[in-house]
Amino acid sequence: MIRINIIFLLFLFSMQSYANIIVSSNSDIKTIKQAVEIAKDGETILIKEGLYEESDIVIEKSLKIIGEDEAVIKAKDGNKVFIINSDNVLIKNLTIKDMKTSYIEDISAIKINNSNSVIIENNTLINTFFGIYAANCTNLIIRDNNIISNAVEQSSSANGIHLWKCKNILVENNHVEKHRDGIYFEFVKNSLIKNNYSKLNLRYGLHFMFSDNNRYYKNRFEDNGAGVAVMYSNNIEMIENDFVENWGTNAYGLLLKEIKDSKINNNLFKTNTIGIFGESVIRCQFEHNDFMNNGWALKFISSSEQNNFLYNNFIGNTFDLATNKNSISYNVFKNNYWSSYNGYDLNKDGIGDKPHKPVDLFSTVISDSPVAIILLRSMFVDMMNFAEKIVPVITPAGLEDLEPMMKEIKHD
Amino acid sequence: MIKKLYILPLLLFSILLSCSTEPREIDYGHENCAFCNMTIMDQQFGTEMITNKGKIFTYCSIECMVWEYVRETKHKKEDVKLMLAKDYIKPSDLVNVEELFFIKSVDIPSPMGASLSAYSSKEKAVEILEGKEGEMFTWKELTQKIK
Repeated sequence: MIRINIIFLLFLFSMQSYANIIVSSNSDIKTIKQAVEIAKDGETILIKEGLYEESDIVIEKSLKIIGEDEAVIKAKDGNKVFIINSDNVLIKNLTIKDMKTSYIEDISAIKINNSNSVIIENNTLINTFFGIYAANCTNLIIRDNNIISNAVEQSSSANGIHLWKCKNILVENNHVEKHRDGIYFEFVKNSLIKNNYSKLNLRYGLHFMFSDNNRYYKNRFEDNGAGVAVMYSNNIEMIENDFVENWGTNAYGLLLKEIKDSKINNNLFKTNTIGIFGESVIRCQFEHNDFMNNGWALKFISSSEQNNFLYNNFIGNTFDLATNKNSISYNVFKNNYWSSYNGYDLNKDGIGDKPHKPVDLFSTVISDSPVAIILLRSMFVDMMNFAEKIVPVITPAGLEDLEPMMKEIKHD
Repeated sequence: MIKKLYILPLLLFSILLSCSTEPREIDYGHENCAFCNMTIMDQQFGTEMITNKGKIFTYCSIECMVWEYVRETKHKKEDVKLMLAKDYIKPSDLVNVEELFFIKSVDIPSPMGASLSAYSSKEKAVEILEGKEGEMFTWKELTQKIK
């Protein structure tokens, strides 16, 4: 019993001396920079509430830097604030704001170089240039941060979470708004992006480049300049994400360029100019996705091969599928539900008795001459489409769903 | 009155001539790269290719233009009239690639991962390269190196 009490007392004691160093305007240590300088390896720095105007805080040792509520750091002269060059660092509960923009320098609220095991948690970054910028890092956790900038034009914008040559990263529950790219991955491997909300970014909500073996699921990408881009990557899993409201001449819900062996399952594509734009997409799975009210649900151009489209719902899209070539080869469409299907089901097995051709004549015409879109909804076009349906001449042969579903598919 | 009609062909001719192949500024944030389809954003890296027919293609980076030029994906090398890129330090004007010096250095990341940047002054390029890993090329060397 006594032993338990001692442990409890020790626990209480440790709670009290939770911070080794306290930064506050009425203590001896008034700046975070000073605290970081005198702190020993492994110590904790607590930052009391108040406004601190500081920049270029370089961390060369293992530290925990934790802010009280209302602990705000304003970037002095708009320069970068934290530069982490060591392993095992925690930055938590801080508000960092007001950074300047630069062409040459990567000015960021939190920059992490060549580090292992760094946690950036529950921070609010306001009006930053780069929010969090990590280069050559492993085992990072970036969690529960609010990263909101005010980018209005491309020249004064940078990315919210920017990762370059990193491995084993977790990006979870962040809210990223009004940057160039919300979340940017270049040469990043084995990472997980989960439950983030990325909106109103100038270019992409999420941008992958040369990043293999990553998963992202349950994210929401809304009203970004051009949607989400996944480029030059293999083995990507994109599951249960929402791609919503990406409108514009060059905007997509999801842009896939040179992607191999990936899974795009259980996503929602709603009210985008183009749901998925694919170029050189090879051996990918598209299953149980919902495409609703898009201009084009799918637009795949040449050299997309061996993809499977199964159990997807295509509902109320102006065009379900467009392609610029006569055939996109070896792609399988099977058991999808098409709201534009006008066949019948005589044997009542839930599967339409005649195949559905998702590419209509007019979408082929538009792929060749985009201005023809002005004729959309005209009776002439309806007649052409109908004639083509009966006697197919121009639309790609073989591009059809042999077993279209009669009813909307309910995903588990 | 009829005599003055000779002006017409002249006028027509001058209109045709005015279909120039002058470079134009890239519409950042709205145009897509002709090679990789990405929205062009970085002012320091935007590049432009003008064909003999006067068609202009814009790219997000030096590497995208070099890839397309070297691989001849859209048009043959001899159909290309002019290629332009931006000076990394002063990204206001487009400069002919023949007059530029290119640095390939991992310390200066570029939009498509090849780490290429361009400079109109050789001294400036040497200065930038100082203390960094990397090499300097002329345009000709670059097109031979990149496949």
